Amino acid sequence: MIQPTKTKSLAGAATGAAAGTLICAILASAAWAAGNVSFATGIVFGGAFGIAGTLALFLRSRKSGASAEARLVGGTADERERRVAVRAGAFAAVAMFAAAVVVAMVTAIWSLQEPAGIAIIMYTGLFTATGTFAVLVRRN
Amino acid sequence: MINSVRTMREGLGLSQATLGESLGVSRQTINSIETGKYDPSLPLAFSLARFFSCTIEELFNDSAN
Repeated sequence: MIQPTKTKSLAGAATGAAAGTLICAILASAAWAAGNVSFATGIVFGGAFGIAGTLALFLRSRKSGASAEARLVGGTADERERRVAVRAGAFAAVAMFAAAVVVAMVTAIWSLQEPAGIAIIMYTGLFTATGTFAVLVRRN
Repeated sequence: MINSVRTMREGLGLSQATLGESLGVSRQTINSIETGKYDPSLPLAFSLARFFSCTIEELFNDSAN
């Protein structure tokens, strides 16, 4: 067996989901208290979508014929899939840096106080990581 | 990197899925190795060689060097 992976247990997944929910709740409460209602709403919806998606992939990973994405979440990804995940993370980091530069320039040039810039940077990272992983794991 | 994984696997009458299961990797990873898209790690290369009872040099051929 090559680099045996530890399949994540249901209890571990439940703990992760609970911790994620707690963190989202704390962040949303802080944003709400600071008067950023739209940001708080975004955290709630984004967090709920992320946690639900991760849990769905985790449950899928326990069945035969699971996709690489599900195996990665479930802890049963092999060395090639983990290597692709690292590459996807690197792509996402570069994309987030580029997005941050663009957001900073736009904000500075037009003197904007735009909290949406943070969301743009974060969603750029999320979509780049997931999209790159999906493409690379099927092409390599 | 050129390799003879497919030849050896087919010689034993195994499917990619069966070989992958024996080595703890996915069918897609075996396919990627056979088509030369993915170069396995040293531990996986050793495991492949052990599985086919041959040396790594017999299994993989770096024709560039």
